[in-house]
Amino acid sequence: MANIYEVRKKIENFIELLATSRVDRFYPSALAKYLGTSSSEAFNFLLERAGVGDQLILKWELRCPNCYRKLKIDDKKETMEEFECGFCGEEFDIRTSDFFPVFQINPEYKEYIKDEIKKKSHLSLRHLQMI
Amino acid sequence: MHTVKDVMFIQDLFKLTKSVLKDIAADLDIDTSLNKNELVMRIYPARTRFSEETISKIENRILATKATAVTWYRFDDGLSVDEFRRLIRENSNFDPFTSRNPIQESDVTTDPELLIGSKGLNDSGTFLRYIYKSGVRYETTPTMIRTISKSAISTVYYDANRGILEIRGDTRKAPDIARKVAQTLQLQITMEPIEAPFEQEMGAIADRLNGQLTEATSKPELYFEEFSEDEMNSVVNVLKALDEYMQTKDSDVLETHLQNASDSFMQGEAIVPFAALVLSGMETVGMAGSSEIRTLPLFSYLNPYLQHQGGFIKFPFIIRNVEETFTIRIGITTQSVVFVSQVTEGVIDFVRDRVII
Repeated sequence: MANIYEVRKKIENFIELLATSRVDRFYPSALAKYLGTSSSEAFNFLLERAGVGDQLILKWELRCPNCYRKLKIDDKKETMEEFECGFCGEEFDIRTSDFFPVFQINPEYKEYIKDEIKKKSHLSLRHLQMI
Repeated sequence: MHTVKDVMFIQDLFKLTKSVLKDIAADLDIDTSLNKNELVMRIYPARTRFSEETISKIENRILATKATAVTWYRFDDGLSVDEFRRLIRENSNFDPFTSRNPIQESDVTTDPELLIGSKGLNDSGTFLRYIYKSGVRYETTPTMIRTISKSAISTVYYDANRGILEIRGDTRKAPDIARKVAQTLQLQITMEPIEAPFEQEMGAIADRLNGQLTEATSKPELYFEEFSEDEMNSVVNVLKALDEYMQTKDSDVLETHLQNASDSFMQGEAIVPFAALVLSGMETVGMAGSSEIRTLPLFSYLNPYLQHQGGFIKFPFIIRNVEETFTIRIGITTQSVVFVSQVTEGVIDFVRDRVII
């Protein structure tokens, strides 16, 4: 494993790259591949950057254990114990292992990072004009 | 001390192939032309008459039947086989290795109950069988409806050499069974699900089994903001233009479409890989072949942007000097392995050895 500062820089680059693209959200496995580490370790790294006013927003996705589709939880449902998949019809008792983390890039952070890039290019343009 | 044949239930016989059942029937002088159900109904009451030869034929198959799903747990500090059995005996209100829990099936609840135990096929192994209520089924007759409780059995195998607990049965029930075993052992030890093999690429598991990855079900790792129809079309147009180029060798059309796609999706310095765009909007992607799929162009192209959920691996294993091919289904999300083909204890041992790092 590389040095901590090296890993931190790589994570920063990864999030910044996604923030400037049209990616809305991603799974920790995407960072795991980028860093060459495990998904659980990648999740821990990302968790440090998720929170109110931070770069990422952590969301939990309920997945059907049979067809792996993302399921919507109906607010009207009183019980959270039993669930029927609207895609394949599988009935299952919801367990914690049916929830998967997904990180959304904070839209405010996306705006911020895009502005920063614009400012940088504007600055370098002015710098060129001065020369 | 019970051996494997003593912990066999009628449902285990139903899971054997008809050819194995016919062999047993022949050994017991039972009519071999009967159908599978009749064979089982006749063999089970005659189980005390099994010859040594019959026992040797079935003892490595009876608890390792087709569609066996296994989940693994590891003790942080291994227990010797004697210690494990002693603790199980001491903390159960009967000796599961010499008798059977007298509980009636109708009294079984969703909380698993130890039913019976036996030694394994080698000195370091122990089998335990748990019963639990798995659901309720409604049976209708022309005038009424009645409820019937369904119960299921989970088989636990403890490998004392490696300190590994293997739970065979419904993978969703496995954590409850593991908890129950831990409670019975009454130890201050931690039992953790074995996750490491499922944290890596499925291909790595296939390689360790000298096998082939033949199917993968995956989810794209990146989700995009909604694209307009024109933007979606620009992706499709690039693919179509590639086809066109192959025929006409005219690169102008291809270049125009590539430029359109690039204008649509490239913002600032961020480059979105085209393969990720091809996958956009997909919830799951399934790729299957009759042999290894990792070498196929589509899999190689999309694989870097996919998070695998599960897949099938075919691998060879030699039984009595004959090489046979077995298939397992890997559940990355359930962290389990399902033996799709009819297997033996030897095949399960081999997979356990190779898969658990």
